Amino acid sequence: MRKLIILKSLVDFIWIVSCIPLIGLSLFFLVYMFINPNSIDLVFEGITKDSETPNYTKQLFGIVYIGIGLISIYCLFIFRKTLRYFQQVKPFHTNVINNFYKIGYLLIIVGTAGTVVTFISRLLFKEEFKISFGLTPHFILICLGLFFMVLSEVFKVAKYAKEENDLTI
Amino acid sequence: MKTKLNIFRIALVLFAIVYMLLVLFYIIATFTGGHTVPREVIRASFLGNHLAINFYSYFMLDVIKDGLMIYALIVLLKVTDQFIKERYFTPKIINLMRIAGLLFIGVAFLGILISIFYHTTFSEHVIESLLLPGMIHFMTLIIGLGLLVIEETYHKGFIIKTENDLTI
Repeated sequence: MRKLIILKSLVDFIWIVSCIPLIGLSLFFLVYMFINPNSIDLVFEGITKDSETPNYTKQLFGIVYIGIGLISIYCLFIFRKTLRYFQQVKPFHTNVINNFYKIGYLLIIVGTAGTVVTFISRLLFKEEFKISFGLTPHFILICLGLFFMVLSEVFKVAKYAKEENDLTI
Repeated sequence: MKTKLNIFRIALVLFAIVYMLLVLFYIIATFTGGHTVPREVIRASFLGNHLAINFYSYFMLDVIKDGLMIYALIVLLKVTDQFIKERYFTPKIINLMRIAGLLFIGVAFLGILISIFYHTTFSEHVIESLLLPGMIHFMTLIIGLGLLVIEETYHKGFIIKTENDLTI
Protein backbone atom coordinates (compact mmCIF):
# COMPACT_ATOMS: atom_id res chain seq x y z
CA MET A 1 0.00 0.00 0.00
CA ARG A 2 2.98 2.29 0.54
CA LYS A 3 3.70 2.10 -3.18
CA LEU A 4 0.16 3.23 -3.91
CA ILE A 5 0.55 6.24 -1.61
CA ILE A 6 3.81 7.21 -3.34
CA LEU A 7 2.20 6.77 -6.77
CA LYS A 8 -0.86 8.80 -5.80
CA SER A 9 1.31 11.57 -4.37
CA LEU A 10 3.41 11.70 -7.54
CA VAL A 11 0.35 11.80 -9.80
CA ASP A 12 -1.23 14.48 -7.59
CA PHE A 13 2.00 16.48 -7.74
CA ILE A 14 2.06 16.35 -11.56
CA TRP A 15 -1.64 17.17 -11.67
CA ILE A 16 -1.30 20.25 -9.47
CA VAL A 17 2.05 21.52 -10.74
CA SER A 18 1.66 20.98 -14.46
CA CYS A 19 -1.83 19.90 -15.54
CA ILE A 20 -3.98 22.54 -13.83
CA PRO A 21 -1.82 25.46 -15.07
CA LEU A 22 -1.66 23.83 -18.53
CA ILE A 23 -5.46 23.66 -18.78
CA GLY A 24 -5.69 27.39 -18.01
CA LEU A 25 -2.88 28.27 -20.41
CA SER A 26 -4.33 26.12 -23.20
CA LEU A 27 -7.76 27.72 -22.89
CA PHE A 28 -6.19 31.19 -22.81
CA PHE A 29 -4.09 30.39 -25.88
CA LEU A 30 -7.11 28.94 -27.68
CA VAL A 31 -8.64 32.42 -27.62
CA TYR A 32 -5.42 34.41 -27.91
CA MET A 33 -4.24 32.74 -31.14
CA PHE A 34 -7.30 34.17 -32.90
CA ILE A 35 -6.58 37.66 -31.54
CA ASN A 36 -2.85 37.53 -32.35
CA PRO A 37 -2.14 34.82 -34.99
CA ASN A 38 1.63 35.43 -34.82
CA SER A 39 1.67 34.02 -31.28
CA ILE A 40 1.35 30.50 -32.75
CA ASP A 41 4.91 30.77 -34.09
CA LEU A 42 6.22 31.26 -30.57
CA VAL A 43 4.43 28.29 -29.02
CA PHE A 44 4.52 25.51 -31.61
CA GLU A 45 7.90 24.32 -32.76
CA GLY A 46 6.60 22.75 -35.96
CA ILE A 47 4.89 25.90 -37.20
CA THR A 48 7.67 28.24 -38.34
CA LYS A 49 7.72 31.98 -38.94
CA ASP A 50 9.16 31.68 -42.44
CA SER A 51 6.22 29.69 -43.70
CA GLU A 52 3.78 31.39 -46.06
CA THR A 53 0.90 29.23 -44.93
CA PRO A 54 -2.31 31.18 -44.26
CA ASN A 55 -3.19 31.97 -40.67
CA TYR A 56 -6.34 29.84 -40.56
CA THR A 57 -4.29 26.69 -41.32
CA LYS A 58 -1.92 27.54 -38.48
CA GLN A 59 -4.88 28.19 -36.18
CA LEU A 60 -6.44 24.87 -37.16
CA PHE A 61 -3.23 23.06 -36.28
CA GLY A 62 -3.05 25.05 -33.06
CA ILE A 63 -6.54 23.84 -32.12
CA VAL A 64 -5.60 20.23 -32.94
CA TYR A 65 -2.40 20.43 -30.85
CA ILE A 66 -4.33 21.91 -27.91
CA GLY A 67 -7.01 19.23 -28.32
CA ILE A 68 -4.35 16.48 -28.16
CA GLY A 69 -2.81 18.10 -25.08
CA LEU A 70 -6.16 18.37 -23.32
CA ILE A 71 -7.00 14.72 -24.07
CA SER A 72 -3.62 13.70 -22.53
CA ILE A 73 -4.44 15.73 -19.43
CA TYR A 74 -7.87 14.07 -19.27
CA CYS A 75 -6.13 10.65 -19.33
CA LEU A 76 -4.08 11.63 -16.27
CA PHE A 77 -7.27 12.87 -14.60
CA ILE A 78 -8.98 9.49 -15.16
CA PHE A 79 -5.87 7.66 -13.93
CA ARG A 80 -5.90 9.81 -10.79
CA LYS A 81 -9.57 9.01 -10.28
CA THR A 82 -8.90 5.29 -10.77
CA LEU A 83 -6.18 5.33 -8.12
CA ARG A 84 -8.83 6.37 -5.58
CA TYR A 85 -10.59 3.01 -6.12
CA PHE A 86 -7.30 1.25 -5.39
CA GLN A 87 -7.01 3.29 -2.19
CA GLN A 88 -10.54 2.23 -1.24
CA VAL A 89 -9.42 -1.41 -1.81
CA LYS A 90 -11.82 -1.83 -4.75
CA PRO A 91 -9.38 -2.77 -7.50
CA PHE A 92 -11.89 -4.90 -9.44
CA HIS A 93 -14.67 -2.30 -9.51
CA THR A 94 -16.48 -1.85 -12.85
CA ASN A 95 -15.34 1.78 -13.01
CA VAL A 96 -11.69 0.73 -12.76
CA ILE A 97 -12.13 -1.61 -15.74
CA ASN A 98 -14.00 1.04 -17.74
CA ASN A 99 -11.47 3.72 -16.83
CA PHE A 100 -8.52 1.57 -17.86
CA TYR A 101 -10.23 0.87 -21.18
CA LYS A 102 -11.00 4.57 -21.65
CA ILE A 103 -7.41 5.59 -20.84
CA GLY A 104 -6.19 2.92 -23.27
CA TYR A 105 -8.15 4.06 -26.29
CA LEU A 106 -7.63 7.76 -25.52
CA LEU A 107 -3.85 7.21 -25.35
CA ILE A 108 -3.96 5.32 -28.65
CA ILE A 109 -5.93 8.23 -30.19
CA VAL A 110 -3.44 10.77 -28.78
CA GLY A 111 -0.45 8.74 -30.03
CA THR A 112 -1.87 8.20 -33.50
CA ALA A 113 -3.18 11.76 -33.86
CA GLY A 114 0.15 13.14 -32.61
CA THR A 115 2.07 11.11 -35.20
CA VAL A 116 -0.22 12.17 -38.06
CA VAL A 117 -0.41 15.85 -37.06
CA THR A 118 3.38 16.10 -36.55
CA PHE A 119 3.95 14.51 -39.96
CA ILE A 120 1.47 16.84 -41.73
CA SER A 121 2.69 19.97 -39.93
CA ARG A 122 6.29 19.19 -40.90
CA LEU A 123 5.19 18.69 -44.49
CA LEU A 124 3.08 21.86 -44.58
CA PHE A 125 5.14 24.31 -42.58
CA LYS A 126 8.73 23.13 -42.93
CA GLU A 127 8.35 21.38 -46.29
CA GLU A 128 10.04 18.30 -44.85
CA PHE A 129 9.03 14.74 -45.64
CA LYS A 130 10.16 12.99 -42.47
CA ILE A 131 8.95 9.68 -41.05
CA SER A 132 10.38 8.58 -37.69
CA PHE A 133 10.67 4.86 -37.15
CA GLY A 134 12.61 5.31 -33.93
CA LEU A 135 11.55 5.96 -30.36
CA THR A 136 9.03 8.76 -30.51
CA PRO A 137 6.88 9.83 -27.53
CA HIS A 138 3.81 9.09 -29.67
CA PHE A 139 4.90 5.49 -30.18
CA ILE A 140 5.42 5.10 -26.42
CA LEU A 141 1.91 6.50 -25.85
CA ILE A 142 0.40 3.95 -28.25
CA CYS A 143 2.26 1.13 -26.40
CA LEU A 144 1.01 2.46 -23.07
CA GLY A 145 -2.53 2.69 -24.42
CA LEU A 146 -2.46 -0.93 -25.56
CA PHE A 147 -1.08 -1.96 -22.17
CA PHE A 148 -3.97 -0.22 -20.39
CA MET A 149 -6.47 -1.95 -22.70
CA VAL A 150 -4.90 -5.35 -21.94
CA LEU A 151 -5.00 -4.52 -18.22
CA SER A 152 -8.70 -3.68 -18.43
CA GLU A 153 -9.38 -7.09 -20.01
CA VAL A 154 -7.35 -8.91 -17.34
CA PHE A 155 -9.11 -6.99 -14.58
CA LYS A 156 -12.42 -8.04 -16.14
CA VAL A 157 -11.36 -11.69 -15.77
CA ALA A 158 -10.40 -11.02 -12.13
CA LYS A 159 -13.77 -9.35 -11.51
CA TYR A 160 -15.66 -12.44 -12.70
CA ALA A 161 -13.46 -14.66 -10.53
CA LYS A 162 -14.14 -12.41 -7.54
CA GLU A 163 -17.90 -12.42 -8.18
CA GLU A 164 -17.89 -16.21 -8.42
CA ASN A 165 -15.91 -16.36 -5.20
CA ASP A 166 -18.30 -14.02 -3.39
CA LEU A 167 -21.31 -16.08 -4.48
CA THR A 168 -19.82 -19.34 -3.21
CA ILE A 169 -20.97 -20.30 0.28
CA MET B 1 -8.37 -9.57 -26.21
CA LYS B 2 -6.04 -11.72 -28.34
CA THR B 3 -5.82 -9.08 -31.08
CA LYS B 4 -4.97 -6.31 -28.62
CA LEU B 5 -2.40 -8.55 -26.95
CA ASN B 6 -0.80 -9.43 -30.26
CA ILE B 7 -0.66 -5.76 -31.33
CA PHE B 8 0.82 -4.88 -27.95
CA ARG B 9 3.38 -7.66 -28.30
CA ILE B 10 4.41 -6.51 -31.78
CA ALA B 11 4.69 -2.89 -30.55
CA LEU B 12 6.78 -4.01 -27.57
CA VAL B 13 9.10 -6.14 -29.72
CA LEU B 14 9.56 -3.24 -32.17
CA PHE B 15 10.20 -0.87 -29.28
CA ALA B 16 12.81 -3.18 -27.73
CA ILE B 17 14.58 -3.80 -31.05
CA VAL B 18 14.68 -0.09 -31.98
CA TYR B 19 15.92 0.76 -28.47
CA MET B 20 18.67 -1.88 -28.69
CA LEU B 21 19.76 -0.65 -32.12
CA LEU B 22 19.83 2.95 -30.91
CA VAL B 23 21.95 2.02 -27.88
CA LEU B 24 24.32 0.10 -30.16
CA PHE B 25 24.53 3.07 -32.51
CA TYR B 26 25.14 5.37 -29.54
CA ILE B 27 28.02 3.19 -28.30
CA ILE B 28 29.60 2.98 -31.77
CA ALA B 29 29.16 6.73 -32.37
CA THR B 30 30.78 7.54 -29.04
CA PHE B 31 33.79 5.27 -29.50
CA THR B 32 34.37 6.49 -33.05
CA GLY B 33 34.43 10.13 -31.92
CA GLY B 34 30.80 10.84 -32.60
CA HIS B 35 28.91 14.00 -31.77
CA THR B 36 27.88 12.83 -28.31
CA VAL B 37 31.21 13.86 -26.72
CA PRO B 38 30.97 17.47 -25.43
CA ARG B 39 33.79 19.90 -26.25
CA GLU B 40 34.56 21.07 -22.74
CA VAL B 41 33.70 20.67 -19.07
CA ILE B 42 31.63 23.69 -18.02
CA ARG B 43 31.74 22.95 -14.28
CA ALA B 44 34.05 20.56 -12.46
CA SER B 45 32.17 17.58 -11.02
CA PHE B 46 33.13 15.40 -8.03
CA LEU B 47 35.35 13.52 -10.50
CA GLY B 48 37.38 16.65 -11.28
CA ASN B 49 37.50 18.65 -14.50
CA HIS B 50 38.99 16.07 -16.82
CA LEU B 51 36.77 15.82 -19.93
CA ALA B 52 37.34 12.13 -20.70
CA ILE B 53 36.84 10.91 -17.10
CA ASN B 54 33.64 12.89 -16.69
CA PHE B 55 32.21 11.99 -20.05
CA TYR B 56 33.03 8.27 -19.97
CA SER B 57 31.72 7.95 -16.40
CA TYR B 58 28.45 9.45 -17.63
CA PHE B 59 28.53 7.26 -20.73
CA MET B 60 29.04 4.04 -18.74
CA LEU B 61 26.18 4.87 -16.36
CA ASP B 62 23.97 5.77 -19.31
CA VAL B 63 24.67 2.45 -21.05
CA ILE B 64 23.90 0.59 -17.78
CA LYS B 65 20.60 2.51 -17.56
CA ASP B 66 19.76 1.61 -21.17
CA GLY B 67 20.63 -2.02 -20.46
CA LEU B 68 18.23 -2.02 -17.50
CA MET B 69 15.53 -0.46 -19.69
CA ILE B 70 15.96 -3.16 -22.34
CA TYR B 71 15.78 -5.84 -19.64
CA ALA B 72 12.57 -4.23 -18.29
CA LEU B 73 11.06 -4.35 -21.79
CA ILE B 74 12.02 -8.03 -22.12
CA VAL B 75 10.36 -8.77 -18.76
CA LEU B 76 7.20 -6.97 -19.95
CA LEU B 77 7.36 -9.08 -23.10
CA LYS B 78 7.44 -12.23 -20.92
CA VAL B 79 4.35 -10.95 -19.05
CA THR B 80 2.58 -10.46 -22.40
CA ASP B 81 3.52 -13.99 -23.45
CA GLN B 82 1.91 -15.32 -20.26
CA PHE B 83 -1.24 -13.29 -21.02
CA ILE B 84 -1.35 -14.73 -24.55
CA LYS B 85 -1.25 -18.22 -23.01
CA GLU B 86 -4.28 -17.11 -20.91
CA ARG B 87 -2.35 -17.37 -17.65
CA TYR B 88 -3.44 -14.25 -15.83
CA PHE B 89 -3.02 -14.86 -12.13
CA THR B 90 0.06 -16.97 -11.56
CA PRO B 91 2.98 -16.45 -9.18
CA LYS B 92 5.24 -16.14 -12.24
CA ILE B 93 3.34 -13.12 -13.57
CA ILE B 94 3.34 -11.48 -10.14
CA ASN B 95 7.09 -12.00 -9.93
CA LEU B 96 7.69 -10.68 -13.44
CA MET B 97 5.51 -7.62 -12.77
CA ARG B 98 7.49 -6.87 -9.61
CA ILE B 99 10.80 -7.19 -11.46
CA ALA B 100 9.54 -4.94 -14.30
CA GLY B 101 8.26 -2.35 -11.81
CA LEU B 102 11.51 -2.31 -9.85
CA LEU B 103 13.52 -2.07 -13.06
CA PHE B 104 11.48 0.91 -14.28
CA ILE B 105 11.94 2.63 -10.92
CA GLY B 106 15.68 1.88 -11.06
CA VAL B 107 15.87 3.30 -14.59
CA ALA B 108 13.99 6.43 -13.47
CA PHE B 109 16.24 7.12 -10.47
CA LEU B 110 19.42 6.33 -12.39
CA GLY B 111 18.18 8.52 -15.24
CA ILE B 112 17.53 11.45 -12.91
CA LEU B 113 20.99 11.12 -11.31
CA ILE B 114 22.72 10.76 -14.68
CA SER B 115 20.88 13.80 -16.10
CA ILE B 116 21.85 15.91 -13.08
CA PHE B 117 25.48 14.76 -13.37
CA TYR B 118 25.61 15.40 -17.14
CA HIS B 119 23.90 18.79 -17.19
CA THR B 120 25.69 20.22 -14.16
CA THR B 121 29.00 19.22 -15.78
CA PHE B 122 28.47 19.87 -19.48
CA SER B 123 25.44 22.15 -19.97
CA GLU B 124 25.47 25.91 -19.75
CA HIS B 125 21.83 26.22 -18.72
CA VAL B 126 21.28 23.49 -16.13
CA ILE B 127 17.61 23.99 -15.22
CA GLU B 128 16.38 24.39 -18.81
CA SER B 129 18.33 21.33 -19.95
CA LEU B 130 17.05 19.25 -17.04
CA LEU B 131 13.35 19.97 -17.62
CA LEU B 132 12.61 17.52 -20.48
CA PRO B 133 14.72 14.56 -19.22
CA GLY B 134 13.28 15.18 -15.76
CA MET B 135 9.73 14.88 -17.08
CA ILE B 136 10.57 11.69 -19.00
CA HIS B 137 12.19 10.08 -15.94
CA PHE B 138 9.24 11.18 -13.81
CA MET B 139 6.91 9.39 -16.23
CA THR B 140 9.12 6.27 -16.07
CA LEU B 141 8.91 6.42 -12.27
CA ILE B 142 5.10 6.59 -12.47
CA ILE B 143 5.03 3.60 -14.86
CA GLY B 144 7.26 1.62 -12.45
CA LEU B 145 5.15 2.46 -9.41
CA GLY B 146 1.99 1.71 -11.43
CA LEU B 147 3.37 -1.74 -12.26
CA LEU B 148 4.10 -2.39 -8.58
CA VAL B 149 0.55 -1.36 -7.61
CA ILE B 150 -0.85 -3.65 -10.33
CA GLU B 151 1.43 -6.42 -9.06
CA GLU B 152 -0.17 -6.07 -5.60
CA THR B 153 -3.63 -6.22 -7.19
CA TYR B 154 -2.59 -9.31 -9.13
CA HIS B 155 -1.50 -10.87 -5.87
CA LYS B 156 -5.05 -10.32 -4.58
CA GLY B 157 -6.45 -11.76 -7.82
CA PHE B 158 -4.20 -14.78 -7.43
CA ILE B 159 -5.50 -15.42 -3.88
CA ILE B 160 -9.13 -15.15 -5.09
CA LYS B 161 -8.41 -17.49 -8.01
CA THR B 162 -6.71 -20.07 -5.77
CA GLU B 163 -9.67 -19.96 -3.37
CA ASN B 164 -12.04 -20.28 -6.32
CA ASP B 165 -10.19 -23.25 -7.77
CA LEU B 166 -10.19 -25.02 -4.39
CA THR B 167 -13.98 -24.59 -3.95
CA ILE B 168 -16.00 -27.61 -5.09
